[in-house]
Amino acid sequence: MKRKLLCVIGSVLFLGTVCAVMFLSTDIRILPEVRSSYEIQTTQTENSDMALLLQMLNGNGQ
Amino acid sequence: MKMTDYGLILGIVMTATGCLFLYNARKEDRSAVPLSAGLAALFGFCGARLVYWLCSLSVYKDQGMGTLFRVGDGGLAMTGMLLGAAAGCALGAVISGRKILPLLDALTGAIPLLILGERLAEGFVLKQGYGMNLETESLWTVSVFGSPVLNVALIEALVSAVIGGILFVYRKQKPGNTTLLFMILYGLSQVVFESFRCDLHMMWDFVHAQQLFAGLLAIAAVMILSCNGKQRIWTMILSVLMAGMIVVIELGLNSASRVPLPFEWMRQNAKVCWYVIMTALLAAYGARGIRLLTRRVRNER
Repeated sequence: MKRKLLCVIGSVLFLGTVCAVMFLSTDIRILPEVRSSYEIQTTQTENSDMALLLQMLNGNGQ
Repeated sequence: MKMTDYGLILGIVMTATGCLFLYNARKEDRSAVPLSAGLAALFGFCGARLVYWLCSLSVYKDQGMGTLFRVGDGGLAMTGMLLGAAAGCALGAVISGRKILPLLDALTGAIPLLILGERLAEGFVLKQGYGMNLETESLWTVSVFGSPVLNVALIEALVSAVIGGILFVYRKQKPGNTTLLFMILYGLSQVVFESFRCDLHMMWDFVHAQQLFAGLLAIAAVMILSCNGKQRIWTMILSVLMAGMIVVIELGLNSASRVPLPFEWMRQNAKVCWYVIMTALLAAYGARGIRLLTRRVRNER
């Protein structure tokens, strides 16, 4: 009984975390200060090369 | 809150990793896998964010503790994920009344699949994880401003696939050996890859935080494998020497004037020379680790 309960708790925990990761992992995962400059650049100039360069320079911390 | 392509890929890869974890586990341990996987996923996610946040405190310190929970602001750290997942898996094993090491081995055997999927998504969906400029265009480069740039994430994905393959073949070993092998292979390869990357964050001056953590992971594994006093002293000396050399190489890569290379032909190809020296050093250190592991396997038979 205890083993089944632990299985259910574990499965719920795993699926919950998977869902959290799916919804919390954004496309642009770079530092806030850089993101704001990225957003300004892409909005004002629509310069995709600049956006790409900023992404490249900042990576995503992994 | 919306689901992105990157998030969707991470979710699929996490689920596949959970399934492989279940497959790798011994029959008697399988009932403990759901709880261990659940805690490993939760702790891994929290650990990844915590390590990233701590390494970026210079940015976050003025914005309060709340930034720790805003996962979209900034990123996640792979080493934090590994440590958190290991802690979660161990806790799951303890609660379920199972031995920790066999479950940890089953998890580490599955982790390369997660890294493989994340790196591919990073390189192709996020278009991040790029590294230094290369003079020649190849399969391993992407074009940025017309210049070929090394696609480090793609190389990391391939190496993860290789490590995953080795661990899969090696999975029937005595408890603990698969985890130690993963720590050596992943830790040492990541020292080079983190150096390739042009990330401007998670860095303290010229030191890449992830490079340091990965190196420590490999050193910890080799230290554990050094079973007697003499071996431990030798491993300690070699570890300090290797770490010192890596610092010198990073200094040389960071600024050619700080650590000049002795010959003109070397100075002309400075980056290549430094990386060849770094790879040779890490390979030698890894060879010692593998030798100690092989000896341990032989003694266990």
